[in-house]
Amino acid sequence: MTKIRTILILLAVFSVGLLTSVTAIADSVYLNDGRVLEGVITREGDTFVYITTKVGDIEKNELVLKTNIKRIVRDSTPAEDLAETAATAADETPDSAASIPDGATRIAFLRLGWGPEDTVGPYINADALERSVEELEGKADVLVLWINTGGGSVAETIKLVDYIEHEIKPKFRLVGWVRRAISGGSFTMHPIEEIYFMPETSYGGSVAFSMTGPRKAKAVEGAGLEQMLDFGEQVSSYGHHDPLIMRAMQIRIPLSVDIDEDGVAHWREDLEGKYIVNTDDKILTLNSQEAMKFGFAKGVASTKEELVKEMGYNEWVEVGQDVDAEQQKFRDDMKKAELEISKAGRNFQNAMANKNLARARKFLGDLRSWSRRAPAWQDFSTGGLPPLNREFFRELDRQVDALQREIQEKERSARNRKKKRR
Amino acid sequence: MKSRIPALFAALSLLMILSLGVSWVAPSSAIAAETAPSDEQGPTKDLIVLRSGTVVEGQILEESGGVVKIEIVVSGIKATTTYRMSEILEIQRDIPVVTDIPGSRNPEADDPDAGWGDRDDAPAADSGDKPKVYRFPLKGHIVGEFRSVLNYLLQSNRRDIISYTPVEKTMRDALSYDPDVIIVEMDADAPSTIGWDGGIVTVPLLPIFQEVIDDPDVRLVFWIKDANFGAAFLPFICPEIYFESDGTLGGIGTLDDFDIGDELVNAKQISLRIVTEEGVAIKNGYDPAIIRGLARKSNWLCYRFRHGKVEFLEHEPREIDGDGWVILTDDGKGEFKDKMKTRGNDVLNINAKMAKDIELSKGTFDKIDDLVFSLGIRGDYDLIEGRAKRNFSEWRDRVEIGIDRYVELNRDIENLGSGNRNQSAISLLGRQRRLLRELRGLLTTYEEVFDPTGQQRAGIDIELEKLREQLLQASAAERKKNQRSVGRSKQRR
Repeated sequence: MTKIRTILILLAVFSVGLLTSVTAIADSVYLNDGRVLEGVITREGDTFVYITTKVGDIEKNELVLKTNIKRIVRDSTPAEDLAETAATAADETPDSAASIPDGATRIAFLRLGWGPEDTVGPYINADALERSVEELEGKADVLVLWINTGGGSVAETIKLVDYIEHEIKPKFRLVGWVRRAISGGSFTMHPIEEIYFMPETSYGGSVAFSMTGPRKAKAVEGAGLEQMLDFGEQVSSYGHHDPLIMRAMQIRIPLSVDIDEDGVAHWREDLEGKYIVNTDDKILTLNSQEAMKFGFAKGVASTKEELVKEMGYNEWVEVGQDVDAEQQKFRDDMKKAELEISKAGRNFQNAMANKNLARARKFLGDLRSWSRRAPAWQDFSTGGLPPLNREFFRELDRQVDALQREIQEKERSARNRKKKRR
Repeated sequence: MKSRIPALFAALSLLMILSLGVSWVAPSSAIAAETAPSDEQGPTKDLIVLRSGTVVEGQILEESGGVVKIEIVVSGIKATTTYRMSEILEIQRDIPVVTDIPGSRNPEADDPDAGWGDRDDAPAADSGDKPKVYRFPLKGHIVGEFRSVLNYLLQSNRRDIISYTPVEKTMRDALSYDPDVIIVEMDADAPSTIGWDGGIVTVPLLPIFQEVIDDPDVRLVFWIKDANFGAAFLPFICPEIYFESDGTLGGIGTLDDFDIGDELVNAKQISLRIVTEEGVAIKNGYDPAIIRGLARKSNWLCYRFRHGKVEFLEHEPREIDGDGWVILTDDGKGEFKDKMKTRGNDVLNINAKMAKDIELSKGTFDKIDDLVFSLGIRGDYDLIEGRAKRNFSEWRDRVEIGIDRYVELNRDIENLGSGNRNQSAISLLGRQRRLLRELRGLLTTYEEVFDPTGQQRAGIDIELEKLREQLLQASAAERKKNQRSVGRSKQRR
């Protein structure tokens, strides 16, 4: 009896221990915004995880995109250790020297834009890039600029190219990884020699133009076009790409290529080459198959792991995820600011039209606040407003002061009239 | 996690195949000769182990751009099939071919239903559970982010709406059953008036399907009855497309009409639009020439078979191009211009046969049982319809009510201008404000259909701000008026 009792007690302890350990063992998902989700990962795809968390007795099944995740600690660590890990997570950085194996190459991935609406200028610009690069200095051996944009400001493109060529390339092995690089996006990537595509990549369509009205565009021509073509040649020389490629992306020229026995591409501005790349009625945009066939892209990769393999690294570690997260946050802040600036601008105009001084001042304050929170909007126009720079606010202050004087004058006149009647 | 089980099973399957000497590839001296690197080594084969557990044998022809092309032999016929890297667990190359045990069965050779390019999915871990197939009806008119969508709905009278909410709800319903396969039955179109850019209406739906396509635990396939205008782009995100025998995909070809006022900018915009869609096609293993053929009426697309592969030609076949070309679409110029607009090939519309020939479709089936069988589910299975139909019909009913209310509110706002002259300004302004707030709420509730860009709501916000000012002024005027009349009545006393 005693033996059975002992066994039962041991079983009970073991079971409790099991239960304890089961409930104590958890997966932890560390988010970019600082939150930590503890629970059990029930499903995982390439781009997401489902985690079941529990608050009291209530279970909640939550989908989390991997782009929002800093790191995942899986169920091998008991909860007590996770608590300790969580407490030190703020101090621990993925690229701390202690966590990087010897001989592993440190590779940072920096997303430049994450959708076609992330335009060069407000969302992809040299200032934001510079801030990120400064943080990565000394922490990364390889910098991968991962771009996804439909293009944007020519002026900003020039700054980006300059920064990439003269500040980034001397400091890192620089790799371009393209999801979408249209127009200004292709210019931004073109100074990079080592370019990889994703299977779905589109690259090119680099005609500079301006909108002259609703659904009315005008391509740059004359001296402006000559400058753009010269810029295209300069960027091509930076990236050691044949200048005819970028030229065919800017104006309609025939383009063909021969590949010699050493695999070197020889481009020509006619259709006599073995492979016809572009005809003179079209503007060139490359897909991934063409980019590989004609030797423009060094490889095609869908994932970071594939890319690194194409780059020739076996031992590597990703660093700088926090820097990339900052870039994403910057873009999110810019988007939010864009909406709010547009609203505040309209409301300010309404308030001025209705001679409501208090409201006008309030919305002017909102505009100032947003321009501080999203300073890139000091350089680019949005929501029908010019850039929110000093000149802009000086003009608005002048208008508000004029309104105040007008109101004070009216009140003075009204008081004087009252006095006279008495 | 479920994904670990197929991996174990795949490994076991691999062992079994090797040890029993069962070969999925019909013994072929031609293959042996092609693959044997040297006489000492003997014939070899390559193996692709898929995440689903299936093991495919053959000869890997190409591995690049995130896809692997492998040549298999089915019933003595060589065929090429493509797998995305994300579907693949493991690749093994140059595995020595084990001599067949006399009398051993070659399932592929004997199976009359094993088709060119078929993927014979081995059942998942033998738990005794029946495979689950979710039937996802995508039938109707896809609307989404384009300008004046509400005006379009009012004018078009199309109420069989497909938009984000019912699609997302149905996908969640599907996943709640933990299905093995989701079959998206597509019988859908999009507004014809916006041509190629009509693809934009599918943009909100793409992440819903893409997430599941990327999930190694679920197989999602498109089964096309109709995919027209902008809706034609949607199936290209899926590496598995099947057709019904009278299925069609296309009706897009209008990029030739694109005009933004400048020829060079037109050329740029046309180019980037086409290549963007080419990228989607390439990612999922389809030839980008198909996209080019769909994109412009002026584009040629011809195809033929050579050495078991499909080849494309994108101009009028010439003598030096050889023979055997089948014209799918021509440039519609001169002698090639269609005599009847409704019949002809100036605009590419892909039918089931074409789709199979050009490797867009993996097979043609009119019954779901046949399709499921071709997916490798050979025995009983659970066909789940879930809440799919109800999700769509409930959403459409709600949108219908929303449209009626939208029309009513706009009429009421217009009618504020007429009516009782004695009504006070404050009362009128107040009523207008209430109506506008309700209108704004309606636009928010049905945002994805009524106001996806938010422009209408932005306009209402401005109106509300103006009304606010007007109400303040009206209130101030009313107070003054009351003060004067109180003053006058005091004087009279």
